[in-house]
Amino acid sequence: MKTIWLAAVGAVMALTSAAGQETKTAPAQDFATIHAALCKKEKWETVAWKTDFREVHAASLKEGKPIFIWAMDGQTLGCT
Amino acid sequence: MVDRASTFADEETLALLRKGYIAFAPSVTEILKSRDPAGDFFRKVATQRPEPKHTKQGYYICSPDGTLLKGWMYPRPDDGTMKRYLKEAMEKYQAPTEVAAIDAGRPDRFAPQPPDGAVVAEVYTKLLEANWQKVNLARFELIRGAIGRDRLWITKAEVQELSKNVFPDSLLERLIRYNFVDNTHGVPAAWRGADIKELTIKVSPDQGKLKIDGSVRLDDGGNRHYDAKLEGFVELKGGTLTRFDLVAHGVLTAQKTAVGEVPIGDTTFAAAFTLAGDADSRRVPPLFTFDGAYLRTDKLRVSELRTTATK
Repeated sequence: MKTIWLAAVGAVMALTSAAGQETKTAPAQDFATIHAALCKKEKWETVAWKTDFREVHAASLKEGKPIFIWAMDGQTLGCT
Repeated sequence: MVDRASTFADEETLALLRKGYIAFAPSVTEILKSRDPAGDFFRKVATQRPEPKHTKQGYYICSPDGTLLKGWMYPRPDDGTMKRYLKEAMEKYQAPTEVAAIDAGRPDRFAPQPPDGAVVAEVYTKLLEANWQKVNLARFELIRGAIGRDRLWITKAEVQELSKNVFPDSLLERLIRYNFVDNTHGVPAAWRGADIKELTIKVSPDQGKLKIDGSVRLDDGGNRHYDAKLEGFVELKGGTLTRFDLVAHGVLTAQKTAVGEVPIGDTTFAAAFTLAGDADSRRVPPLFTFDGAYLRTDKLRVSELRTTATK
């Protein structure tokens, strides 16, 4: 427990004491953990969102389904 | 961002969309300007919304003849309205029998298209650790843990350089300036070339792969500061890029931001890269392609720093 507490204090001090200095230290996290945590399919991506209207229109006619449009500023499938 | 974290994280809503709808996610800015069948269709549908004045942002359920069945914007985050509308429209929907296919001519696209032979990588960003002010806005709470999304174009020439075990300056500068940015709560500002203060990069062949190790210090002169470690693996087979798995992570601080709220003090911020899959989202261009310097290959700050380092 003492080791964990000291490690936590050390991590906080690394950030705090660096205020105003040029180089700061981030808590150590390995490449594989971060990559796996971020590069994953999210729930919203389980819908087959299309970006080409011609394909949307043709699919709607062929499958007899209505069109749902998600329209927000920026790009809803990218940076928004 | 709010929608991804709330409305489109709801399993029942997603099941309704997958089963009963053709889902369209255009860029509003682009489609409102487009003088083509897509633009004509969207403007026709949007103007049927009951609100007298609205930004054209929102959700629309329509038939392929351009008839609006339901159009709305709020509540956001959703309170169940979305599911109710999706169910109602599915139950009542009668596909129009006589609708002509639209003109298959060249679409009027404003969004930049990737250069021939370019490879697309997905970029994921996240604030791994951050402290926030207490707020009562649900949408702020929702997006604090969100994963930001963007893309990176890797040109054919850059792939060729990677095949020679060289990480090209142009690619390195592009991913630093345009992807080492916190886009988890809105559209950020890119870093300027001059903001790259220090840089190291090492490319080591490792059992058929390239192991990438580096570091970068970014400072815009008073507001944002990012000290990041870069690591990962790149792999090519027969000249084709088959793996581009990179992570940048480190301490990011900002006094103010272009949009949304700013975390208090230091944060731990990460950007992760991997090759794009087959989803249609790969067609969405990287945010900063509107910047004419996005594909720049000359006058690079990275080149200056790497040249200095080898002297």
